[in-house]
Amino acid sequence: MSLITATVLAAAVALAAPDTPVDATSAASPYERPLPPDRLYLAGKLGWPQPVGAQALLSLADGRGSRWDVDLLIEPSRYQQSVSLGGGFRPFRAAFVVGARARWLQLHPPWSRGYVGALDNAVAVGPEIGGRWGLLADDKLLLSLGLGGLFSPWGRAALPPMVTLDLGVGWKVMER
Amino acid sequence: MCLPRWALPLVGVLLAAGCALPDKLEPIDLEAADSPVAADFSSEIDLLERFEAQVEQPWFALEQGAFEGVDGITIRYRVSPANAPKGAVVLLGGRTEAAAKHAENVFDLNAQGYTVYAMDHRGHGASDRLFEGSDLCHVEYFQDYVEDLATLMDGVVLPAQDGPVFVVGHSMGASVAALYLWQHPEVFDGAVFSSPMFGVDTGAFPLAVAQTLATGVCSASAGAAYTVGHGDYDPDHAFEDSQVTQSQVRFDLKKQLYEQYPELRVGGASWSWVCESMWAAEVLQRLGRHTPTRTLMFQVGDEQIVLPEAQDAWCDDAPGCQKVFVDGARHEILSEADAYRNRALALTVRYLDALAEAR
Repeated sequence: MSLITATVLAAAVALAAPDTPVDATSAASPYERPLPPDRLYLAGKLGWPQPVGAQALLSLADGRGSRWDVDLLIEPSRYQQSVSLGGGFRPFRAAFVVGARARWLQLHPPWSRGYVGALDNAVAVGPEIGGRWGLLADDKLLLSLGLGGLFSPWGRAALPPMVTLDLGVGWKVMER
Repeated sequence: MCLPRWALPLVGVLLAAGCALPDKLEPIDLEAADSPVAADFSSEIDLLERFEAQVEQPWFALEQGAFEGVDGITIRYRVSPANAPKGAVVLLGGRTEAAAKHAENVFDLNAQGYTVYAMDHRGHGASDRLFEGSDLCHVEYFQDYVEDLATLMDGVVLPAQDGPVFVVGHSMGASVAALYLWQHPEVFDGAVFSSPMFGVDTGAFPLAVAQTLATGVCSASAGAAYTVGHGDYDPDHAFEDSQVTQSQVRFDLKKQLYEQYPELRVGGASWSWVCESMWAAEVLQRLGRHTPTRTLMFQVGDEQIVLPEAQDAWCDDAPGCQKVFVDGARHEILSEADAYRNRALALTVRYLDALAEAR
């Protein structure tokens, strides 16, 4: 087959199927990164006032590359331990995160002598800001730094406000 | 309508929201003509001369009892019986106070017809220290103070008393009493609180900073070290620096007591004590409305140790609480200058008399 014939045939094929879907990935600008997948991390944290914690963090990507993070954080402690549900937003692939956390506090842990069931359970909420950085290939590691507040906004509930500071390291366990 | 007691663990702090306050009880008339007057009480004018013979020696001659408190700590108390008693008073001092410091008050209450049980909290006065040989004012759990009081009541006071029984608590002692009143509302016929510690004054530290700092230390450790700015008992503490009394003679006698009996003295607070006191202050804010016991509360005008607004919050909620504001007095009104102390004692006796008669 001559070079001319081959060229004509290729042009005919192209003209015969003008609506064939184009692969979105290959059509993307070489300057844009592909959309990141959703990820699940398991993390450990060091912080103040609760010194240690274990966290499961689900990071969901939206169409613009921003991320919505939801996490469950357990912070066992001999004084004011906490189980909390956090939500965070990382806009446009930035590390900056802004969010909020709702906590169930136990002022004394139930296994301690000082625990008074009717008095030691409390609920608190608070805002959080900080950064979350993906490290290693495909963001296998997630480094996080957070500064938060903790309030009990129910009048005479009287838990004084507190400041929280956390440093966490997470390992990706699932991605889709 | 308030939430029932069984619901408290389920809702925690939320119980404070949307809960109507119970109706206040009719206050007791404290200005009756037969109220005691200043002459009925010990005076600071000649106190120094007669203290050893009339206060110190009789105090240490009183029967001292002991029992095993929470976690094996020995708790000691003294009983000072009245002749033909109208009732009994359990006297609970504040942080660092030995029961012996209240000897003058004990004998004044005796003279008014009340047998007095004066207990040293754990780590205070004649009771065992949590760390032997240390001045550290420490407690593992605030509830331990309350359990010790419960042991005193069940094992010592109630078996011996048929008549009315009252509690008089100062500062931290009032917090202990208030928690006990909530947990055992049927035991006491009435209470008198002097400058109750229902909120801790964190001084130069904003409350949020103090709470964050203390919670962090107590979360990560046993908190058995002096908190910021606290240390061993200071024998050189000057009257001019006193935030708690304007009576030089009573201040000097307190120092003399702790010099003569160094085993009675207590120094600064531990981190754990701070955390636990904050815990008590937090939970007490929720409990006023659940505390029906008749309570007379003295609030002073020159308060520098605890938070008057926390006292107001508790007393406003508590159906049986009536407050007396003593303008110009400092924290330790029962160790204050005569003008303040006499008024506090006269109103206390009038209040107890009225409750005893009504029983």
